[in-house]
Amino acid sequence: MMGRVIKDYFAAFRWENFKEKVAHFAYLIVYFFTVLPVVAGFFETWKSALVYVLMMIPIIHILNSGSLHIMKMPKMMYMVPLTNDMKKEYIVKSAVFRICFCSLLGIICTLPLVFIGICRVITYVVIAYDYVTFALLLCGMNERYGIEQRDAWQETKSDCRGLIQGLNIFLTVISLFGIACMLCWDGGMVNVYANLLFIIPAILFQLPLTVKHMKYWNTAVDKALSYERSFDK
Amino acid sequence: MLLQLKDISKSLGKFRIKDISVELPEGYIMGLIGPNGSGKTSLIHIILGLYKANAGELLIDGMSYEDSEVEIRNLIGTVLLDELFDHSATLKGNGINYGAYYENFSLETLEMYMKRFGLDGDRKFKKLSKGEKLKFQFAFALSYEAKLIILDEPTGNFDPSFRKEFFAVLKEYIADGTKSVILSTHLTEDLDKLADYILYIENGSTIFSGDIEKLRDSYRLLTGEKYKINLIQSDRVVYKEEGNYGTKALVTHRTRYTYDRELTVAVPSLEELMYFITKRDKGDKRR
Repeated sequence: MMGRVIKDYFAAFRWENFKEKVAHFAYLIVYFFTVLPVVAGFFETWKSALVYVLMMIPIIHILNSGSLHIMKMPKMMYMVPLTNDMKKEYIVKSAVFRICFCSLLGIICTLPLVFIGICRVITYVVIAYDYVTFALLLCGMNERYGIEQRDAWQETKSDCRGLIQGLNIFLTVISLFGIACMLCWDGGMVNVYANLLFIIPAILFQLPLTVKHMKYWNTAVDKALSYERSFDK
Repeated sequence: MLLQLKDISKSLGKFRIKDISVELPEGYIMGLIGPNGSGKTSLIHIILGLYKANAGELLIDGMSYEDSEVEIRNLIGTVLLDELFDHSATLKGNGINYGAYYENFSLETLEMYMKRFGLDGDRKFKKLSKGEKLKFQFAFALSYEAKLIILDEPTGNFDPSFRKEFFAVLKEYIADGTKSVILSTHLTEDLDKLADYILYIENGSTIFSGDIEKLRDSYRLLTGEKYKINLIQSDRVVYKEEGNYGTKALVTHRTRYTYDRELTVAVPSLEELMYFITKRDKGDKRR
């Protein structure tokens, strides 16, 4: 089953899929990789450029993954002879794999920042936490980020899932981008207070919101088990 | 009985499938007909266990999805308009990947049918035309000895030469008397030659369900002078249409009924039946 999960994950990275499912936020990629860093002066030294690119690659990958992979099976998997438990195993393993893969990419990409001495270990922990949260929020959903999500938020207005998710995504992006700015501009986050600025919201706001979001996990898995709920709105 | 639907109902937004009952024994082909939006695809989704019915009973080979989903899925082959297979994999790769889930899958059988249908196993699924994708689904459905093959409007995408081949394969497939086919199609002339049973639905409700011969025997198509047709009991007239050269009417028929000698009496084709019944149900009844 794990082989199938991994194969399906990488099989989704196809040009047609990018055109269909990722193109809607291509302007974000252009903005974050060209306009913003040039205006903000992140590309003025090789060091800050490296820091910025290393931090942005995992974010873009998570955004891509959140659009390409969602919590539902390929259509044919609903037709084949699998028990509900086997289908559930596929769905959960797929979601866990993409969350882990996306988080790991973020953790690995930003690890050099610690070794070149511009990032404290505690800052790195916040960065890693942000990547895990971001991956969890974007890659563990039933709807494609940005395309189908708005409709889903309308549907689930009453249980606040969309609000919790949206707020948490916003806080996580602000946190990651804030850290990137400080690392690029100041050449490193050595100031304790600067670190607290990111640690405190992570503990006080992001963590409870993430825990709350995780309560919808079973509902999302149940939805993914049903062809009707996954493909026919 | 290979397929039994008893009072199946399902709400799909504003649309509703209402109390559909049908039985299909082994060794027969059932045509599923009806106008666009009549609920054919939704009914097929229910039979495939993709949609859960709100009410009623669905049994396939005496088993229900609740108790024996894996066993049922081993028995069912599908040809749907949806693109089910992995786009980036080759046909053979798709066959091996998904065939692995089926108890009786045979790669040799799949390759044999692919060859017969003119499909190259090394081609990627995404490179196929719409018709070829359906041919591959059909070949795959035949490769694991499915007992019931359900086809949702495939014939419109097949070229005329393959359509002949397709019907020949369907006949071969049911020949041993243990397998059956449900074929949803708009091309009713194909069913005239092929189908043993017909399920005709409209607006989610059954118009007719049963033996095709019985359906044909229940109606007659009359052509002739308007006043002659007007003499027929109005409750027997399903729908009548006035043209430049006379009037055509679809009427219910019994063996004991006789007709005026000046009227042309014909057994209606499925297409004519669908046309007249649909007209009637649209409230376009001209009596």
